[in-house]
Amino acid sequence: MESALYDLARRYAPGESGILLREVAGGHLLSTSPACASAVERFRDEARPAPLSGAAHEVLACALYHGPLTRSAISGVRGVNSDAVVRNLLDRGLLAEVGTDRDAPGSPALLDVTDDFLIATGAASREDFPPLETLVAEEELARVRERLQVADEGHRPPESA
Amino acid sequence: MTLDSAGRALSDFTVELDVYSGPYEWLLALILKEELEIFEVPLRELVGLYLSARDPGAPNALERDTDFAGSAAALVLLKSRTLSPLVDEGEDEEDEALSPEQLAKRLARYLMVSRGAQALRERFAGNAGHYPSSHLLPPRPGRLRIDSDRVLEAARRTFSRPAEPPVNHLGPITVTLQELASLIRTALARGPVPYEELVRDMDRLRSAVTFAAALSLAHEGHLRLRQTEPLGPLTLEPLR
Repeated sequence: MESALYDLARRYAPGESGILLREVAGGHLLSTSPACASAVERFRDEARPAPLSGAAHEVLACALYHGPLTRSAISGVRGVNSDAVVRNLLDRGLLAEVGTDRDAPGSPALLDVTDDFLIATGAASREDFPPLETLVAEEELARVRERLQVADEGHRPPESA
Repeated sequence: MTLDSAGRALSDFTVELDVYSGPYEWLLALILKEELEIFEVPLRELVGLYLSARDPGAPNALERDTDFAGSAAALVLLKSRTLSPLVDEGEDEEDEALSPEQLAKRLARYLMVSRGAQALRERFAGNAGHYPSSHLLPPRPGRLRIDSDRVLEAARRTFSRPAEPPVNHLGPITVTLQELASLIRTALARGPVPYEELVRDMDRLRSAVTFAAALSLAHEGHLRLRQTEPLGPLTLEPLR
């Protein structure tokens, strides 16, 4: 099987064909090459899906790095209500309900990213993404802590004599 | 199917925005059904579009203006509520008591998610244009099922009238944007001023409104906001 896949990958490599064999979402998937995208769209008479909003990317990042998690946990991380964004991502198949949080009141649904998300991002698995801790330098976090400390001291009422 | 446009003064008003293009009434419907995020709709631009398309001599001009003013005011209210921080019962006290360490932890968590989102945007863009074969991945056990509760919830949402947004969270107006804009202008007459210095003796509400006033003045070209790095000091610089 591996040998056959290797042959197929060579046959359908970028630059060799309008069709590509991609290793995504824990498997292999044939897809058209991005170079042919406009021709495919004309043939299928379909427009390219609208790009995701900044809020949608943040919700997906929450689910990818902190998931599975509830809607309220996502809103808690972002600081704003994210229900509409979550609904949109569920409709697009990039998020899915994968269980319930039985410890929380009302047993809310737990959300996680889907195989379609891995396919859309060209990832073989979620390990393909850089660890969250590497995305922000420790110096930057230290500066944030320092500024908050300074701001807190500035807003503290003066001690009475 | 066509809809009767009689009695709908704004039925022929169409808008062209980055996030949406089409009839204004459909835009309202999409927002109310939460298909479109209100905080992504530039309300100022929307008002500008209406004003440029407005015909004061039209027989139903007053009716159109009234309808538009009413719907635009509702959008402003909705957007302000959406952008307000989440308030759960008992959270107020907890929020007040948040230590700098806890706040730093929250900000750090959000900063990392925000950077993760940027990385995802690049990955989505880099992988756009791949159209997969029609051979779908085999459904995994338990994934492909119709959840009757979700179908009922979707039907309820589709056929029910959206609930009126509560306004009891809005307190009496004690400070206005104009007042604080005037304060900023006075401070700027002496040159650049750090935002922290401007709001040093203010409470949270006044600080927030001062920030909104600064944004408004910057948008009108009266000042420039300078922040050299995320969460760094913010300085207001006069432009005129």
